[in-house]
Amino acid sequence: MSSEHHSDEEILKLSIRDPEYFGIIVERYEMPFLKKAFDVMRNKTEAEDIVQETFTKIYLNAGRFRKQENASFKSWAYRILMNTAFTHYQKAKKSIGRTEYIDAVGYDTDAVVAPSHDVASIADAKVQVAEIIAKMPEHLGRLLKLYYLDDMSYHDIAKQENIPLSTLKMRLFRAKRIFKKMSY
Amino acid sequence: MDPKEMHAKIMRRVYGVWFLRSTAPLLVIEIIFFIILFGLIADRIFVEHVVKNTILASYGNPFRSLAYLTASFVRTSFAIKTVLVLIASCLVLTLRDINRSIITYIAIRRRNVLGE
Repeated sequence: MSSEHHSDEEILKLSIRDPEYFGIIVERYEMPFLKKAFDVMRNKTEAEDIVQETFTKIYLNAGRFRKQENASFKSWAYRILMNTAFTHYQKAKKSIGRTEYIDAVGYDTDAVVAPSHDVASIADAKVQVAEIIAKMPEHLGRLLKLYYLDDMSYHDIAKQENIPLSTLKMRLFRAKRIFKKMSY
Repeated sequence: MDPKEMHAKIMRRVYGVWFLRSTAPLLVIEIIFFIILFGLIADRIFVEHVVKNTILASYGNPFRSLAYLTASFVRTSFAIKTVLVLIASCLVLTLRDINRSIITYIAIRRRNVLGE
């Protein structure tokens, strides 16, 4: 295939008819995505699951992607990755109570990181998440940040915000729904 | 899981999505049409007799059976001719879609294994 020099957007469009082209996108983003997912989950298996799910979602929604002035394929793909990572993170948090950060020993992060993408991708994803939270209603965005990014418990947030636990859960549910809507 | 293995796993999923979205619905529709058309024609043509007569007409020469089938087709009613043409078209489309699915799968697999 001689499409290696084409842009991501062009390849994504081609891959809708011929899925073989999607392999180029997977090759370009597999390693940076793995690194990013590992940063969130601190678990190699979870990170791999997230990356697989992310690529599947990207392909599923490929037909809906439209390149806009401030939204490239890269930023769109990272948003999907972050959403998937958040969902996994939440599930892990529910099942364990509190996510245990597993030691990275045995996980060769140097081999996983593509040097050209590493810093850029992390910064890019962080900026995107912050941008979405900033656009959300202030009280909901704040709760989302406290729970997912600052890793605070329900109890601590409810105490800090001076709201009942049931109200907090309802707000977080709404906040998550809005975040997902704004991300796609 | 090494990156190559993961790449292959992702591409298998992508192939699955592509197949279920673009090929499977077409195949299902074509097969349903095929069954309906075959049911229609089965009421009017006794397939066993057609096969028997074709074998008898051939006398060991396959070209003769082809000539017999062509002559039978020309002499049959317009409705039967139409249904037969539709069955043939359905069959060609089904084979095309099956062929496309297999070729795409092989291409993805080759790219995963050989990195072409």
